[in-house]
Amino acid sequence: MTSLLEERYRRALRLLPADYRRLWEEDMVSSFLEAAYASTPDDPEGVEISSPSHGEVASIALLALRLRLGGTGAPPRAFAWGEAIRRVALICLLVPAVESLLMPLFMTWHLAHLPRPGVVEEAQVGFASQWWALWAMAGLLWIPTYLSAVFGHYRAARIMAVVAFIPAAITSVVQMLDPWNGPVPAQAYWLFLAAVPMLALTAFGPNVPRVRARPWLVALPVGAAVSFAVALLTAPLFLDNMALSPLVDVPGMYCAALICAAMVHLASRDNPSPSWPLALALLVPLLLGLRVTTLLGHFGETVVPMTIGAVQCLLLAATGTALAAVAVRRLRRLPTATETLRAPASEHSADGR
Amino acid sequence: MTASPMTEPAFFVLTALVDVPRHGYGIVGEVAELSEGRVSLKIGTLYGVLDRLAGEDLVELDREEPHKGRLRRYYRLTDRGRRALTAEAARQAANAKAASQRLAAHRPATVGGLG
Repeated sequence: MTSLLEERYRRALRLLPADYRRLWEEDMVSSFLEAAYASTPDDPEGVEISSPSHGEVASIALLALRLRLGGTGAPPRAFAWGEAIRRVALICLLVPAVESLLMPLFMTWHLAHLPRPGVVEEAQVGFASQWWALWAMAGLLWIPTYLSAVFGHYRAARIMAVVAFIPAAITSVVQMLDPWNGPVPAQAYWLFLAAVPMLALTAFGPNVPRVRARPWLVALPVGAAVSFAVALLTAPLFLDNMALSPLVDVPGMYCAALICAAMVHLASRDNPSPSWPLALALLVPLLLGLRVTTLLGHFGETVVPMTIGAVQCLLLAATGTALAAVAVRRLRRLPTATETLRAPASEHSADGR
Repeated sequence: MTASPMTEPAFFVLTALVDVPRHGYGIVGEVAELSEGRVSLKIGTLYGVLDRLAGEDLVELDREEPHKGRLRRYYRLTDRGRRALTAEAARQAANAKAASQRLAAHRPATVGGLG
């Protein structure tokens, strides 16, 4: 008769891929129960009705994540998913890294083009402005975070991503409390987007192949230069007609960049791997959410911004569908996990429970 | 040889299997003892490590034995696993030696330097 503890542990094990469970589940249950009874030898009845510790469940969840987002030696489909998530992580780190590079560029440009201010008010150079300058500098942390991930220092990248996230989180929360800073869903969504690189970095476990650094390194200055040029070209449009702002605001730029990247990828027939279309397809719902939540700020305005936003959403959805179709087709061509799993399996392990 | 640097749990799991084949819980206990309680393997972590080590042919199934109505699987080190562990132990020893030599050569005056 199975105990409550065993039932609960088996339930947690369902997080693991079925093929993996078939090979390892019985042994894991056996080892877990032995450890549980050994830790409390005086109260076996109490053990039977207890639950697996949070640490045990977390270790299973991490294992499940690593198996599903495979590294070198993983089944091909898990490896393709892992590569896709790793690319999402790199893209999500590249974007704030590019933005933090843009900041000094914009400041230089503004200083060169705006009329010189007269005497700066005393109050403006007090503690608050210094604090804000320091706060803005915190965004520069995304650059070493991105470079650490590109050069394979994943632990450092994870730690720096958390550190870089803290000021972003505080800023978002402060803005959420300020009714002048747009709708709360948009601010909450920006906060969620800032957390995505941290979450996606979990796909860089042991045994992941080294990232090909060169294209990602080139992407940083090229991305900054292109973004700067586009921002300069589109700024007059935005300033002259606020109704067109969804076309050239940050979510609008992200949408345009993703659609362009997807078109380039779908037009090229060189790479049969499903990882790139999968990565780009995974970015689509992220941007769709951003576009929709940021559009809420245009409610009650003229019909133009809402129409632009709706068209962007439709284009994103169509792009996502096309990318997903290509990714699924390519994934299906890969062998299944059962054909490739390795384990010291025995004749007993295939019986299941 | 492993493709990537050996993690600490993998190092201790291989070390735990040097003398005799062990079952899952036996490995957990042995690793805790070897690391003087510093490394406490969760079962999910252990089987993640065992899966990787089995995939790299560093450990293999030794036997299965019934124990309290369940089958216990015992794992053993392969020749390849022994070689990988030997290489890793040598690498760590060389690192430790280099650090110790450098520390001894540059001992700050405040650390027992006036005695």
